[in-house]
Amino acid sequence: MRRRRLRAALDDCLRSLERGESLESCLARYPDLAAELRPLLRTAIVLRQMGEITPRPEAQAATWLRFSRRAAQMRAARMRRQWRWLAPAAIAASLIAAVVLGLALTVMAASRSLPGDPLYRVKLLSEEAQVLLTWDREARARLLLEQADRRVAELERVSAERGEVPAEALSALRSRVARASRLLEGSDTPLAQAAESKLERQQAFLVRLSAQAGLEERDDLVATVAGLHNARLRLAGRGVALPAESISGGLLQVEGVARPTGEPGVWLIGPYQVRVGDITLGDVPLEQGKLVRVLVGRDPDRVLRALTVAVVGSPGQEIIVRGVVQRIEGTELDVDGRLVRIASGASLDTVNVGDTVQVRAYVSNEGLVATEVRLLGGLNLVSTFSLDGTAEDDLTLGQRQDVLWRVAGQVFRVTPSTVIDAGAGEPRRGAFVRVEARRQGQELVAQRITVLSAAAPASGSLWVQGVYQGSANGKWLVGGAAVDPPPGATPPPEGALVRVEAVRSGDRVEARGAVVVMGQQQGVLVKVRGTLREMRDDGTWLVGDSTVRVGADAHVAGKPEVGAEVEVQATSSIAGLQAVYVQVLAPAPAPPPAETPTPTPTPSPTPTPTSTASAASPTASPSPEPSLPTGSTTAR
Amino acid sequence: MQRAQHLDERALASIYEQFYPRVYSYALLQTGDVAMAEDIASDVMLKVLEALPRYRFRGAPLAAWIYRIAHNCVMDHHRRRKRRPEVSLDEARPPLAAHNPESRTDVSLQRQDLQRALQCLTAEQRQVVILRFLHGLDTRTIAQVMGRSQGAVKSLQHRALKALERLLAEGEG
Repeated sequence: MRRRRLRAALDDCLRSLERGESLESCLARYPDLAAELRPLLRTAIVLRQMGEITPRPEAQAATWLRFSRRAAQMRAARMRRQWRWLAPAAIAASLIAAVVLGLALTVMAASRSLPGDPLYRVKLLSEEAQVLLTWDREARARLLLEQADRRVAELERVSAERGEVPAEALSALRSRVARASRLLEGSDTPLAQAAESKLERQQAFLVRLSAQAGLEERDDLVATVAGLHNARLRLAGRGVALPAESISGGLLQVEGVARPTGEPGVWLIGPYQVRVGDITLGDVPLEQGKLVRVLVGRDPDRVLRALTVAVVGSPGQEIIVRGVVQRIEGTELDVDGRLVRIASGASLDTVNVGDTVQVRAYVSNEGLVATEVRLLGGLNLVSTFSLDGTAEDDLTLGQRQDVLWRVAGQVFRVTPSTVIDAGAGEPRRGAFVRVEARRQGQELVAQRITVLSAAAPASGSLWVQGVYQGSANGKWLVGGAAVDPPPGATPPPEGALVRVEAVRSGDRVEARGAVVVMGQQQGVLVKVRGTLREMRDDGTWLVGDSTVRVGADAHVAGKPEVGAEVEVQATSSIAGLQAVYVQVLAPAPAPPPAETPTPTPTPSPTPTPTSTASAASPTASPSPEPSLPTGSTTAR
Repeated sequence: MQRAQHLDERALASIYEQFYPRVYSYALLQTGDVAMAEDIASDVMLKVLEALPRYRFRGAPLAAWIYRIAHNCVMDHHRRRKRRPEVSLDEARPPLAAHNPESRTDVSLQRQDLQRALQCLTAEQRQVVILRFLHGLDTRTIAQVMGRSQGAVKSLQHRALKALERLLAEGEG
């Protein structure tokens, strides 16, 4: 205890001495410890008086040299450390930049590559990466469909440029449409609907391609068509699939009037027996009498299965078929697989197997009925034409003798055998009429007159349609009619079916423009006339009972609107009717018409022999007489 | 201090100017050998320089940190010296010159006596005496340098003064 007190007193006195207090004053505070504290405090005072120990200046300087040198080294090292990261970072950044740039350039270069190019796989991989980075189901499906479009464009280009059908593009196409359809399965969005029509068009393209492809490519194409069909079945929610093997026998397109057989699900399409079932898409169930175009797959046992059905014509509709005569049997002609029965009194050229012909026919319940068969090619080009224009006189019905009738400045001889269709109004002065005529010498003989509407278009235009035969004396000859060509216009190819929009100048017809409605190629042109009932957002129009796709390349004369009377000339494909020329015959009445569609005016090809029909071959004699549409009157 | 930690030359010079003499003095009083004290001072200052960027203030002043480094260096030198052939403590103990602390004015002579007397203390007592009475540190800082409590430092201080008083009295006798 005392020792502790002594230590505390010593410490206190030492601090007091440091502050300048005297020894005695300190000791006075601890009289009982003073004797012990005094020598200790004196020793402390002696120690404090010992004086400062100073180092040798040279030693201090020498150490400073070492100290400052080391400090300099440390500073340098620190500087290096600070920037040390930069070297590897710069290298890494350069490498990454080089790799990224390289990849970007490769991907850019690859984006222009085509199947078979070294970078094509890079293109497919970069597209896959895009798909993987797209999380939204619909966006992913849209992307896959766009990529599928790209594959089709590549196939189109490569097949045209190199004559090949690259397997890797087909495989990528199959994969993309399958995934897109799985993503859109059960969805009723606009994208799903757009996907269906897109797949349909792609399928149609592949079918065309398969017709030109070599044997080794055909299997792959057929598998891809099956893949596209399965995607369409999935989108349609059919719950069935088409095994590729079941169409391994090949694909073909058949066109004809649908007729049932005794066997359920089996139909006659023209000459072909076709099974129509769960896997059949398009305009199903089939209706008897419809003109249909069917994509058919053949299985190894040669059984034909309908994949897609498109109605391209209804009973009474007029069509023009161009093709090569494959077979002549009694009154039946096979024109590139389309069976046509010749109506009694049809206007015929002499035709033989192998001839290229233009057949004018209408759709009946029993098939196609031809009213005119003309040879195409050589000097004997079709010399009939139609003129749509304003009637300049009244035409009295039921005349028993020939009369002259003026339409759009042209004088036509109307004979008692001229068919007159007055369904849309009387053939009076001011009516908009169509005269189908044939030049005989200097005369134009009317074979058929159709009143298109009671009043002609305000534009005063007239239209001439026929086969372009060439030019003479600066005029175009269109089906025998002489037309002043549009200034500076290039003449259409000879043999093409053209429609010329013109104005009357005295008795001359001055063309303002010309549209080729059917080139020299073979095929079918369907005329659909009726009320325009609907113009859908997807580019399809409902005309009468027919659905027609009106693309950007279709020529439209007049102002189309719902309720207007229109005539559409369209080509047919497995995707349906594709408009080539749309003519507005009469504007929509005001107020708008009721929902009930105007019945499609039916042509009335009453078989009336003409002078040119006399040359018909015995095999094409018009017998027996097929049933004909009704509703027309004749001048007889 | 921050500038010194970033190796700023002027800040380092300031620390060097301030602490080299004190470290040298501490080492000399601890070892009684000028050359060794210079070596130790040089080592200590370089160690301080090396460690300075990592120095973090944790309540103890910079001086306590430097004295601690200095003490460790002194201990290292002692350990090294112990490995060498040793002389006996009697031989090693320098004779103290007779002196009267109150009457002697010859400081250099008095310092030699005191230095000899310091060598007779224990290492801890010697450390406390040097830091407390020759370098003027308070008991709290000394406790931080030594890693001991303030009470222990006061006790060491008491015993050291008592021993020195006896040694100096013996010298006079």
